[in-house]
Amino acid sequence: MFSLFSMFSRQKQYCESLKQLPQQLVRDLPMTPEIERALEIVGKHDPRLPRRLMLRAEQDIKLQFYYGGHYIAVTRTPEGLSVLAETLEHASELLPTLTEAERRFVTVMRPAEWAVDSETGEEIYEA
Amino acid sequence: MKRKIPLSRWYRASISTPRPELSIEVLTSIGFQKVRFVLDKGSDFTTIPRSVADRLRIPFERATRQMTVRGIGGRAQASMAPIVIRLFGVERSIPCVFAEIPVESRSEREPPSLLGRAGFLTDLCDVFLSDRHFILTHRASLPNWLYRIVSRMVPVFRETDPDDPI
Repeated sequence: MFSLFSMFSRQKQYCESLKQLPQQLVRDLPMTPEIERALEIVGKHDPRLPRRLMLRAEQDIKLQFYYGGHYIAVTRTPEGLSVLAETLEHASELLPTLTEAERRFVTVMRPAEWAVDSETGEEIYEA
Repeated sequence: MKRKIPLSRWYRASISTPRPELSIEVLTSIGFQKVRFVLDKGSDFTTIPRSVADRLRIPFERATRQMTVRGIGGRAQASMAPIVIRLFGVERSIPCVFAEIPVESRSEREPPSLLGRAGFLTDLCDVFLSDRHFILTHRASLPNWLYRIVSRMVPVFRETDPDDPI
């Protein structure tokens, strides 16, 4: 039930028990020349972007580069987003094994496809 | 109630294209699950690919209301059925289109899930898009005249991560 209190209350942000699952921190994914170039473009587009949003941009672009076009399951950690399942099939198998409390900390998302198809080399954009 | 959510920074065709994305809790057969949607003000209905709905165990009747979805990329068969979402702590039902991706355009990559206008922008929220953030205002089931007064009196908003359920 909606309450005024819920408007201002802060919920817990991380789940300790999810730390035991195998996962990949997005921050630790290797930086590639393509990602660096994309970040340069973001910096040129908005030169006064605060550092916090620039770090988020790096995370978003890494997600797009490594997992673009795939549904993945992620959880938030103090070090940033962490990928628990790299495909929809894996996410589909993982989610029922988690408790309801753990599932509250897991988001299913689909990063946009990377701008250039690695196999055909053609430029892609999502209308 | 207002939420200020940073735009996700996407990079397409050598251009930075910030995108409004938000996580909404959707009812599945194993309970509520946070799913991140792309907010699409140009889309009539919320759209989820059928394969994704199946994998995430989002219950829907395949036989109900068959329709054709037409987008810039072509046509697809779909069925429309309500889904239950939890928004600002309140459970709501909104219409949703479950689209079958045509075999010829199927690849190992899935299309995105879109949050369209029907049921969401028409009944539940207003959205203001700026260059770095978008602001989501919940109407909290108030009549429109009362909602306008309250939203002026309560101008504060809470910073929200795209992963936080709204």
